Amino acid sequence: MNNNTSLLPHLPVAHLLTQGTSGPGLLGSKCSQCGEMYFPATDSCTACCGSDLAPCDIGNQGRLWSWTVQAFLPKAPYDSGETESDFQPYGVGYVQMPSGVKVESRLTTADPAELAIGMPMVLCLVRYGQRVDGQPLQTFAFAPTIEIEGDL
Amino acid sequence: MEDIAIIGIGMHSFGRTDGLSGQAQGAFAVREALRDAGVKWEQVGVAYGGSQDAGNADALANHLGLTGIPFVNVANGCATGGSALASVVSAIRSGMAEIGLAVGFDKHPRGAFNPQPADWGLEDWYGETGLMLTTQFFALKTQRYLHEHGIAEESLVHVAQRAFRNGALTPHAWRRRELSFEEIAESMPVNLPLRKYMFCNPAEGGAALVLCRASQAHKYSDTPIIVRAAVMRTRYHGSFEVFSPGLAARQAPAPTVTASAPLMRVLVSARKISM
Repeated sequence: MNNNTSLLPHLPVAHLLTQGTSGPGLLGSKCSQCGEMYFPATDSCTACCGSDLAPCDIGNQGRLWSWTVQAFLPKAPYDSGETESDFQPYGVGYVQMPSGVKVESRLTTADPAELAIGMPMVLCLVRYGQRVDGQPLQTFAFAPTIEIEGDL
Repeated sequence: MEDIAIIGIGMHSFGRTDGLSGQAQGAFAVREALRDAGVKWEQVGVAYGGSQDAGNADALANHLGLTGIPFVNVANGCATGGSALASVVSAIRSGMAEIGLAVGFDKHPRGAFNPQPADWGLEDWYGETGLMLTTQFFALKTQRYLHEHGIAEESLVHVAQRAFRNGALTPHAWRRRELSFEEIAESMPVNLPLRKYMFCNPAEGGAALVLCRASQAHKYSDTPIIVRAAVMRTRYHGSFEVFSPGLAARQAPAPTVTASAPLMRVLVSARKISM
């Protein structure tokens, strides 16, 4: 895994991420009027109709809130470049972050035996396919982890 | 408020009907509903209808007759039929028309839907990275629901079994063969915990209702059905609904729940049920 986003030109989610010393984090928004937090960043608050939101850090650790496994090759707009013959199932989940915001994300494992609601998860980058020119495509994902900082 | 009644029902069989357009299936359903009500198309004073993949509902007038009828196209996703019904009920109640029509029909391509992120106010990455699938949403919601309510996964198999049992009893249903517990439980995983036979496949068919004021219903039907409530709602802040890259910290009930609340109040006030 390569956490240096400057070496990853084909990261369609780059604008959703922060780059910290401990790896990537998620960038969100906080409503200056009511304090509600959002991922991904937005300029509209659906809690109070506000339109004055500031960037905020959503973090890089959380707990698995729900999960599934994508068992079939999605149609377009999925752009991994995979075909039916080389498609690899992938995990998908919502991860509850320290603020309580739940982030939808790919998971690094597609094995149901390795997934359980409530387990600690940490953000990383994964390769999910490649472009026609052969260059890799990456996105954010959550991986099961043993320990997390603080009590989420 | 004056009650509104359903006086005619018509359906075109669901499934795959090669050679018949979605609009033709919708027109078939309307004619069946008109026949059921004993009403002529010229008598229908207002219509609401919709279709996801088979074109404009008001084009049914090209099949049924160009009578100048105010025919409103409804495009409300899975709520299209319910929205059409609620709109017709309101229109008749307002005095706009004596007889109204609600109709839905479709002819979906095979396989899952492939929605475009921009249509949902989302960025391209959400679709490109493999997160924009309705089946994923149903799985994630079901998984969380099982967890929160302590429900065993095999309950999902029982629900599917019941649906297939009902299909076997229903002449216009697509799937008319009962399935065993094992056939469902061992069917292909689509998005766990949901498997092949736990989804309804995108298909084809049509359904139509003819309605009028309940006080007039006896003129058309010996067995009118009174519409006690027809309600549509969108999500609240905190609802867990389809195509959500993030969910709010707080949780709010789903639109299905909030739309049902007025009906529950009607039933409770009528003392049909106790709470």
